[in-house]
Amino acid sequence: MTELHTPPYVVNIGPQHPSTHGVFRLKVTLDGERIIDAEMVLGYLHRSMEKLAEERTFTQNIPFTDRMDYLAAMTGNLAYCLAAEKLAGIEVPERGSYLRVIFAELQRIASHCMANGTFVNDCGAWQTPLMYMFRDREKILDLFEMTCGARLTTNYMRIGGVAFDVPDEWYPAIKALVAELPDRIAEYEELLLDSEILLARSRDIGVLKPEAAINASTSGPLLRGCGIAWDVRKADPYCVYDRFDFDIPVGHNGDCFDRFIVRLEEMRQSLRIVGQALTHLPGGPVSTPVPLALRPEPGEAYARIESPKGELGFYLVSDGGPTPYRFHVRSPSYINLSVLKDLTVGLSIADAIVTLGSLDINVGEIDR
Amino acid sequence: MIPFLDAWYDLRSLANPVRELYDWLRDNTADEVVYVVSAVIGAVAILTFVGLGALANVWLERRIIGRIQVRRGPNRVGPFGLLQPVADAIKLIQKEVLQPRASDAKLFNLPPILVFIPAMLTFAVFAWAPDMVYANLNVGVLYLLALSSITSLAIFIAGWASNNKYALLGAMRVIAMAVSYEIPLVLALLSPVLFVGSMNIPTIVDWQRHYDVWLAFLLPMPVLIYAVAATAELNRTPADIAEAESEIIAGFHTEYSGMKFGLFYAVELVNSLAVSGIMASLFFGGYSLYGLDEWLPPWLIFIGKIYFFYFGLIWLRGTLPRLRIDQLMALAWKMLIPLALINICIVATEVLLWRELELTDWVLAAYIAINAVLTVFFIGAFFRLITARFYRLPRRVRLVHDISVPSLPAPGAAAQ
Amino acid sequence: MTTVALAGPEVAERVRAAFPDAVIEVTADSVTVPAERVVAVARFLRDDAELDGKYLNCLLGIDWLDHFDIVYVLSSLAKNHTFVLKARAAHDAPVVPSVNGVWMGANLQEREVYDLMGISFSDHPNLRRIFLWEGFPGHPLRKDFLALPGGYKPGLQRFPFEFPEGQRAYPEVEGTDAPSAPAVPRLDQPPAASESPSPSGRGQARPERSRRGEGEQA
Repeated sequence: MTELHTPPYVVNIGPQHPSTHGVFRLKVTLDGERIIDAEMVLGYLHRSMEKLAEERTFTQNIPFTDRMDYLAAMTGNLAYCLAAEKLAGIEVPERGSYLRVIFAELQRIASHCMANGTFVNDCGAWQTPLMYMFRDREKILDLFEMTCGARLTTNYMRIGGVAFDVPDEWYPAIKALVAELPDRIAEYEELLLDSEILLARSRDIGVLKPEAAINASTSGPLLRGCGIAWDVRKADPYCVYDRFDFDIPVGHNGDCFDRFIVRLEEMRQSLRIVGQALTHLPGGPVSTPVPLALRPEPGEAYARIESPKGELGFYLVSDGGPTPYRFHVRSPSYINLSVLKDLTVGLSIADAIVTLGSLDINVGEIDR
Repeated sequence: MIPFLDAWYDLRSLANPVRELYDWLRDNTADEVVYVVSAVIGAVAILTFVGLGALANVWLERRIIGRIQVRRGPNRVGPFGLLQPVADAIKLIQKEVLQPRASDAKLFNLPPILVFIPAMLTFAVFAWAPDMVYANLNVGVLYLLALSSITSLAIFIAGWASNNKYALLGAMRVIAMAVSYEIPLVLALLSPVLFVGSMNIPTIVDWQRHYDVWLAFLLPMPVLIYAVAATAELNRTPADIAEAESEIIAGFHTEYSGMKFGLFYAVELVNSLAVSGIMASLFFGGYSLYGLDEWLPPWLIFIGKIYFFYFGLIWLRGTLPRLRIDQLMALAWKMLIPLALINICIVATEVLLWRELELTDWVLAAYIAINAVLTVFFIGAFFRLITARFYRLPRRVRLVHDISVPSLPAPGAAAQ
Repeated sequence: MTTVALAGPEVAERVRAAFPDAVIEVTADSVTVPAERVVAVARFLRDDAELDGKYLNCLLGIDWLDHFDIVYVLSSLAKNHTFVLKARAAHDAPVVPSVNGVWMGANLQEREVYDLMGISFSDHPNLRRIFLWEGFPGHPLRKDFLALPGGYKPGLQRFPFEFPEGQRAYPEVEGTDAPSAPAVPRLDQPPAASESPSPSGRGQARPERSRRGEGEQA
């Protein structure tokens, strides 16, 4: 019996996505159910931040970093401030470093709540786990609002430290959060990790091999899900991360489910760090005074952090003027997309959506 | 114990006032008038229930799913959001009615109506009280199964008439799923029929009342099979690829706007009630509640049971993720159909032994125990077989304290 | 532990050992090679047992007004060290061989450099513009992209004290067919004598500006 020949047809996924990844367009060519080619079309959110940053002083560029990865503004701020401090040779006081660590880890928990919630949403659960995780994210955003006035685009870190010291009502709130959040994470694990439907949707889907992961410069939970124990906080400690005791969760198979459980466990480890930082939080100033138009010595600097999406780095080039000569963002979501085509070819569309959800991209960071 | 008073004002059976009316009509007019009036009254009553049920279900679904998701449901429109369905209906009615120019003009308007008809007709054969049955068909169960097939046909017409390649794809998937899940559905509904010896629904309910045992306790496996198969037939989560397909490829009702879409949505809710009604009648005793139906109106008990199972359906929707189409087909063909066939063998054997050997009715108690054990065994075995591959790898991460990256070779020549 | 940043001379020594004439410049942090040699040097750096540059952290282009630098920040995850390789390309019609065959992570980053800086990468499997559309006039991240017709040169006009000798000197380039920009007064043109620098005077100054702008474009 001859095979029925059907021509391949092109389906557009996006740019208006029902999932909350942003304006991201994926043109897949389907042969029946299987994807035979996937092409990304980016640039719907391109705001030319790298060019704009060349016309603003180093301090004026900090709000840009809020809006790149808008779901993890604190870590964006932090990476940029570290790069500027490395370029200019500025020291950060201890209290500033501890506060930076606390807020970066809180931001990691909030971003992973969003990532995991939307991942299970892509798998089909009608927002129920998303709403549960948003409960905790709301508490963290309330803490941000208490400190710097904004929930999403926090603009909290400054070159030389942080912008404000924490108010008095912040301490009981964060202690309550640190006390209750481990139970919540345990609840998510109990409810979700044994669900056969979730396993059926995400096990052995979108498997990434370790050699390919390293060769494609992936980072973050994508790399750790493949079994490679690499974390910039451990390998290249910035701020005061070398003083804290925490573990790196590592997956087994490199599929979507592994990335999901890696993110869940990272939330728990972040809570460990926050707890330790709170007990040892020193007093003192929160930032070093830095001139309004900072003029670093001519040179280049690359500083990186472990953001919730992966390795976020800033490459700054200074020519002695008040503005950067070159401002480049090594954005983890953009580079993690290198593997998307290889992961999705051969899957069906439902699996491609699940794989895209597990990569945890943020289009603000991709397009800049 | 207050028996039925048989007075016309005893609303515990709504047949009482109606009987008074029939007697009056029979005395004063021709017999055909009574026939017509009885048809009209019954139809109006059932349609009232269907209409109010659709409205109530919209509200119930949204509030209950809201509560499952740790939030309140709609609570702005009216007290506790009770007028939300009315607002939804008004919104849908006043929307622009779009019809694609390339769509099949005659067939395009048919599906919303066609899909609503079987939903309404299902309620005709239910036994709401001992003497409240609209259509006392001898083949009630067969009638119900026949109606559920028309729905999938209407959905396919909707997908075809839209002239939209993605709607057609969604509709074809629904057909594949509906056809696959009808086999375990039919086999599961066959089990009570075998025990009772009749397809007549009031007879089945009476049997459960007579033997004082619900068929659900006697036949747990068909209940579970029917629950899963009916959820798939209804296109509800976890089997809602038809409508949630609109996340990725548009579902079969993309091209329908306004009240046409509203009808599709309402049909899903009314079908949920119908399925709950079938479950309640055939397996859970219908209007009887171990004697309580002598005190309370039986039709209220029956409606209560319908809403109890509908709550179960909402619960499933709120908590479970969705299965892929090929996983759904695997579930139907590899798990439900073998289970249903095994179940029929067991049930037929039991009924044969009971009837032919003329054993006492206490053998039913033994059957309850035997069937419970066999259900647990078979469902557990199938479950293990199918889901074994998910437990191959550990489902928790490995915690590492220090970084360690093995020196892996780069994909050298392969990366050219 | 912390990541060791290998010094430029150390890396340059090993590169010179394998490719004697490839190194143009060595700084404290980086090694620069000409654009034509970059693929061979990159593959050597990746496969060398000591340097083990298997992980490409970052790929970017920098527009130094007379040449382009493509910066490759490499690191080794197994040995936990990092170093920087740079490739130098000419400013007119820059062409750099693509290192996509060495590190697949370079694929998207090279497309970005092509799109925003106009540096072509030969042997790239899919060199198309990624953020901007095909047909966008110019390459925005180049330093000469700002010279639009009408003399529009955006800059820090709010801090004239930072540039006592005028604006930062951009090279004069003929304007491309970019959409016309609104005319903004240049810093090197003193304001009209009737205008007062006070904020209250700004409201009166606007009609003056637009008239002057129209006069310029005419």
